[in-house]
Amino acid sequence: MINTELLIIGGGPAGLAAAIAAGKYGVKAIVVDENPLPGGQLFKQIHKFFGSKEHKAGTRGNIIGQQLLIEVEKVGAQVMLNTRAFGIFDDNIVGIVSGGKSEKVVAKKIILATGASENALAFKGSTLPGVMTAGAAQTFINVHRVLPGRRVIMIGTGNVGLITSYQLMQAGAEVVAVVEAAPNVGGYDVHANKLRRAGVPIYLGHIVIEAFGDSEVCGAVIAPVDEKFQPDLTRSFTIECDTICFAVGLTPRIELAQMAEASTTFIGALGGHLPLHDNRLKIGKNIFAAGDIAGVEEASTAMEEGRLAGVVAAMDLGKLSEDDGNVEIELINERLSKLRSGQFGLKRAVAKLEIIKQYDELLGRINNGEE
Amino acid sequence: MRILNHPILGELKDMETVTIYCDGMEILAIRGEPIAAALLAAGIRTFRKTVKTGEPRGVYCGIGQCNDCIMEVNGVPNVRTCVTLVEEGMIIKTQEGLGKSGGLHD
Amino acid sequence: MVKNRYIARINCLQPIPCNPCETSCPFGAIYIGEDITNRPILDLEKCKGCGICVAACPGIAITMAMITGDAKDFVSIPYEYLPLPLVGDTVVLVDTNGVDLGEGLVEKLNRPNKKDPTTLVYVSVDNTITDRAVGIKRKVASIVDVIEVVNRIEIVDPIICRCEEIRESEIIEGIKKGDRTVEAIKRRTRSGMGLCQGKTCNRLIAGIIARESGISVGEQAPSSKRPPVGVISIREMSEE
Ligand SMILES: Cc1cc2nc3c(=O)[nH]c(=O)nc-3n(C[C@H](O)[C@H](O)[C@H](O)COP(=O)(O)OP(=O)(O)OC[C@H]3O[C@@H](n4cnc5c(N)ncnc54)[C@H](O)[C@@H]3O)c2cc1C
Ligand code: SF4
Ligand code: SF4
Repeated sequence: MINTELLIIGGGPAGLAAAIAAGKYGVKAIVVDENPLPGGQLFKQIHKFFGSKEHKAGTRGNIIGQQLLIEVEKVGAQVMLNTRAFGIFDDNIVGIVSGGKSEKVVAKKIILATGASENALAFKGSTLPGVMTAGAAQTFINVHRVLPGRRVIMIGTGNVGLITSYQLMQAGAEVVAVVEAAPNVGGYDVHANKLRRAGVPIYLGHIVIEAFGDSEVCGAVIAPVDEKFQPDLTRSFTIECDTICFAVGLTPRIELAQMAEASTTFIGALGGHLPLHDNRLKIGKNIFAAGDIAGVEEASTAMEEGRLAGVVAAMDLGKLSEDDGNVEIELINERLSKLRSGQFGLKRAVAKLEIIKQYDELLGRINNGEE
Repeated sequence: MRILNHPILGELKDMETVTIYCDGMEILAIRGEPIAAALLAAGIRTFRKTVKTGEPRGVYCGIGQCNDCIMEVNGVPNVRTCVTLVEEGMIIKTQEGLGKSGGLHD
Repeated sequence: MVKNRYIARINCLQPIPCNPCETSCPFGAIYIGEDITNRPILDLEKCKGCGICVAACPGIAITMAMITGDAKDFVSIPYEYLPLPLVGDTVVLVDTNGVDLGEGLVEKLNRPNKKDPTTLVYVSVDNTITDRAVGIKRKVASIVDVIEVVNRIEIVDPIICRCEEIRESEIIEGIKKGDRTVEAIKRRTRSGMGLCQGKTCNRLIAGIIARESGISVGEQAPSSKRPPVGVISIREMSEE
């Protein structure tokens, strides 16, 4: 059995930022991550980040990851890799498994920073070797430095699809098509323009209806769709490729929150079903959710949410006074609202408020004895 | 195919190699990389055949969530090759169905 | 018009949360302001053409140009592919849509931020294309064509649950029999009971239920989770 003040599940930008924020006030945190490497999604992102200076904008994701790890070490947080949290029992006991052994962790506070998992598509041949998520391709080219293929079709034009396509070309592959069912590009124009300048065809209003190949993918059949996303098979065409990537959104990994009996709601703009949390990211008395698990956004917002949860945990543990804590929280919230502004961010800002509103309403009903 | 030179990440250097075997074939892998990376670098993309229909599968999620890339490693079936790091002399086999011992719990 | 010196040109038209161009410029020539989703505004007089913002921009949305008044102008373009063009090379310039504009001669390379690999390629170009030249065509190994037109494809039953090899028709069968939740489908077909525990297929199944029954994904209850998350063998569970 392990005893700790603070257990953080997930070592991505949210989890690491939480460990640093709490660690600064003397909270001894343990971070567990199921991967052999820390950093979550950060190390595959070798592009410069958006945001402003205080969000480390203009710095590449992998470099931000390295900086976080140095700070984590400085505050003396313990990072346990290859360690998966498999269950939450009560609100302070977590089961972890590492190296074939399971163990109980008793923690005063728990922060869930489990991130999100990539959505899939299913069409004929979508299980052939060579068909993979964009995140997989990104991991192989940028972390392991191996090309999963040479001629890639990317499905999806959110920022993940656009950025991964650019990075595949930087790694030496050809992106032979980007396919998007919607009539317009989902991500930022500046990212799409990188592809356009490189001559990559972006097929808007199209879907992949089949991947073919006998033992590995050799090509895809693509067809235009109508407003109801029904393909027009008579106008379908074939493109040769050896890799097809899915970049069709992410779904928060909320299993542990469910086990902790958090109430959930569905918010499409934030990726799907999410645990309700209060304005300090609490989903329960001693449990927090921060980062993509609390709504799929960006690494920059994930880090700020991690900090918020870390600071509140430090306050709850009596390591930080209410007043000092509130000042920090204020600053974090200011930075968060900067990131959640503009045409793209505002939707998320509204959705995040909706989570808090639903939480408060639920709390009200519970207090009134209605639930 | 390895990305030896990269416009952002620079050159790949100071690699320590280890030898692994996949279905009997000798493969030079890099210490610290997962099995799946070594196999993709060597051009191997089919990692297993499914239980019901024997369809080929390979890497799908790349981060240990989907379990599509499982293989037999040193006689143990269902090893997730995208999160299991290579070790000198590792013996890797394309997994047919449930693998040698036919179950998850060896 | 400013002549004979490099001036930044910013092609960033959406309100995105970003301002490294503003904060990186040592001469205060770019203004975004408190709201970082404002679009950048360039002060032509203040811009010294140093290229620092070009290398700092995450969107690769800034280039530079020097108008000479002669037949040849100069442009400076950030480039992040290999191989890098070399001084003296001829490169093909493209517009924002990747359309070829013609050739130019590489005059100089520069890395304004020595710690970052983004390289600026300075190219002399015909003055007819100066305005539109914002990219350098990447050297492509192979040209890819649409290879064949297929008139009619029969879509056969795709796999939905990768682990248990459950096909779409089996899911639809379950919905026809009254299943309305991922849980119910799971009990009927074993979908999501494999090694990945539904991480890949739950969302797909919810989508099919929505399509076939009209109950949106949001209205469906999320598939419930009991320990363990991920697969751990019985042995791991019992060892303590
Ligand atoms: C291609 C791409 C480009 C992006 N570009 C940008 C960008 O330019 N700017 C930006 O700000 N953001 C960007 N993002 C988004 C950003 O990467 C994510 O929003 C961010 O990583 C979320 O952080 P997180 O800590 O919440 O989750 P993650 O980074 O996903 O980390 C979660 C970690 O928890 C681990 N974990 C989960 N469950 C368990 C468990 N039960 N036990 C142990 N460990 C567990 C996971 O394995 C993972 O390591 C991009 C994302 C992608 C995919
Ligand atoms: S080129 Fe230099 S001076 Fe001009 S705006 Fe950019 S950073 Fe400022
Ligand atoms: S840094 Fe680039 S992408 Fe960001 S606001 Fe400035 S010009 Fe636009």
